[in-house]
Amino acid sequence: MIGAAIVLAIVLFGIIGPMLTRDPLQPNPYRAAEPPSSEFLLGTGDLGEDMFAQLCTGTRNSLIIGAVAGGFATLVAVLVGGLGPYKGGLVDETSNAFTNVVMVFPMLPLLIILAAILGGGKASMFLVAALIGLTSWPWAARCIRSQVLTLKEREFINVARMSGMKDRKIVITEIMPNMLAYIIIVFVVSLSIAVLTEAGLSMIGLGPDPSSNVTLGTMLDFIGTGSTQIALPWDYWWAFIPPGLVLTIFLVGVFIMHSGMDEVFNPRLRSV
Amino acid sequence: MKIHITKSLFTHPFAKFLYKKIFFYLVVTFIALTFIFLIPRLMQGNPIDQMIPPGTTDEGRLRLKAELERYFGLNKSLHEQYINFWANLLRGNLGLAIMRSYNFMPIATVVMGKLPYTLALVIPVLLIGFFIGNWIGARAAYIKGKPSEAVYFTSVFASQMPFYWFAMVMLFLLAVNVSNPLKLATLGIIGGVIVVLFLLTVISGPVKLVVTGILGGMVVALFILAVYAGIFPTGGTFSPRFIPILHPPHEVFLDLLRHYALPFLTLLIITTGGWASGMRSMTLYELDSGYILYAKQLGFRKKKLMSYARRNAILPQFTGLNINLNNLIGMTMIIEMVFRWNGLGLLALDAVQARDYFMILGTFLVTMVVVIIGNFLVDIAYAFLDPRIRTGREE
Repeated sequence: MIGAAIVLAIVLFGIIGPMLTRDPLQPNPYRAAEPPSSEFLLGTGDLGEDMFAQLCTGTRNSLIIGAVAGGFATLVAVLVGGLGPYKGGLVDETSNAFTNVVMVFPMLPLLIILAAILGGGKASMFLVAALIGLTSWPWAARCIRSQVLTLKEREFINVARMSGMKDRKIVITEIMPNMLAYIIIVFVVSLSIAVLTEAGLSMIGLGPDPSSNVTLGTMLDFIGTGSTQIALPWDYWWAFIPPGLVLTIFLVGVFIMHSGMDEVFNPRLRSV
Repeated sequence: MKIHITKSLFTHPFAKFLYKKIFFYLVVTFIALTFIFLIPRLMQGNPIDQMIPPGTTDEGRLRLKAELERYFGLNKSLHEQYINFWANLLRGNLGLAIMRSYNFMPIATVVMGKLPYTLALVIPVLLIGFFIGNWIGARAAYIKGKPSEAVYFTSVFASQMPFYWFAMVMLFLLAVNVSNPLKLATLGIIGGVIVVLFLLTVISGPVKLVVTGILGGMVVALFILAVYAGIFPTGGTFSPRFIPILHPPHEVFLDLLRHYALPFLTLLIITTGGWASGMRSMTLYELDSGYILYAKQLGFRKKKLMSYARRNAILPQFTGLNINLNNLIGMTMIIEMVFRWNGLGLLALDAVQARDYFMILGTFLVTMVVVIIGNFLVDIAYAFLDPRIRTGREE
């Protein structure tokens, strides 16, 4: 419950915040690098941008990228991890072997290469989201696979099968309702991983184009535009501490929510 | 009559397990390398186009392009290129570096020169983080109560922090403008909380609080003094104007160690947090299970109970080692970029900025090989730990 509340609060912050604040990319050379004040709640950046506006818009854009990438990863995971064990046989063998092979790939270096070759720091938000989704599905696929495997052996599925129900109908009326909550949690965790990955990519200058997009990652940009590298020696803590804190709080929220849900799906853990 | 069952090299369960694993990783290598071959060839816009400096005349562009394509063998058909790719790979030939800082050195030489720096971070962090993290986690499950929960939330927080952001915070607090009293105070509070929690968890006995107070105070005070003295540099592998071959080995080592400390600590804290939070949950679960309760009824000593629970709780942690290694390699590469530590990550970054695609792929190739070897070793270690796998017996 606490986890869900934290996540919801950050999502609301990302939705409502950008409506109430200034243009996050508007430079203001007369008010550059100011510490927090009542006018600029989180101070201004080295070009005079309103950091609070950046934080709000950045949260929103990071969540959008996360949702697209997480949705993509979940979709692939449901197809690869869900269909395999249900069909069984060769389909299962192939999809499981494929997932296992891809699990071994070091995904972050691969993502860096793909982002460097395809985007090169000038990519759109959706290209970055697609790349992250493309490289982050194996974990989700494995989760969904194991859940389908346990579900498949449950009695009500056997009863449904024995009573002559068609495969498609079993999937829709028996398996899906039981999987839905689990798929949602996999989606939320994929989303949080995607948000984290996007910020990492933006931080090394390989995320969405920082001159037209604001994300939590571009606020932390260390190598691309190097805004953090300016902020560090001058002690402009307001420029890089808040986005990291928002990320951390969001990720901790998702973690608590996830472990709470784990107890629901895995009753053996509940007594702990 | 006694029946002798001979277990040859082919039928021994452990050998079978090994062959299966070797086959699996060969398949992985094959797919990964094919992928590496395909990446630059599938993208729209040739990497060759990107290599041609801007401002070249149209005629010069065409000639340069033809010349470069001939040089890299891109004018042949795809399957010929693929065969050449494998032939070159097996000869250890990854091509030549185009980036200016490695003027036409063989890519294999450059990459292999960077590998020790990356491994110097990855291997100690993986092993030390695994041991310390699991130790803290198991102890935290054992002590119960408020300190246990505090340890849990601290480790969850540590493991969920974005690691690159934490690297910046480390730089901010430990390396930049360290004489700022506010910063030192913040550092004292954060460091104090971590050290005191750690000591409270791992020390047992009647004088626990006294020892924690004295030892913790000393450690934090020493650390703050060291930070105040400017012991941690802001990045790099050696100090500026420090030429390693002109100094005696111990000075070189000390200078290297100073630069090594921050990236190492950053990675260690993050991975330790992950292991500790996982291990605490697992041990709590084991401590609550039937065999422990039964042993408790039989009057076993607490130490004995703890060791049983720990041995069972560590198994799932071991399976996590594979995924953790894969993540850690990626994390290390980005941390290297932040601290400008002279490893594969920094090389990849420089290659990305110089648009040297063959160097980028060379870096990925070596990372891939390291990950595969690491995964294989973890699998073997797991087989030694869990006899069910070694003997091929199912539960």
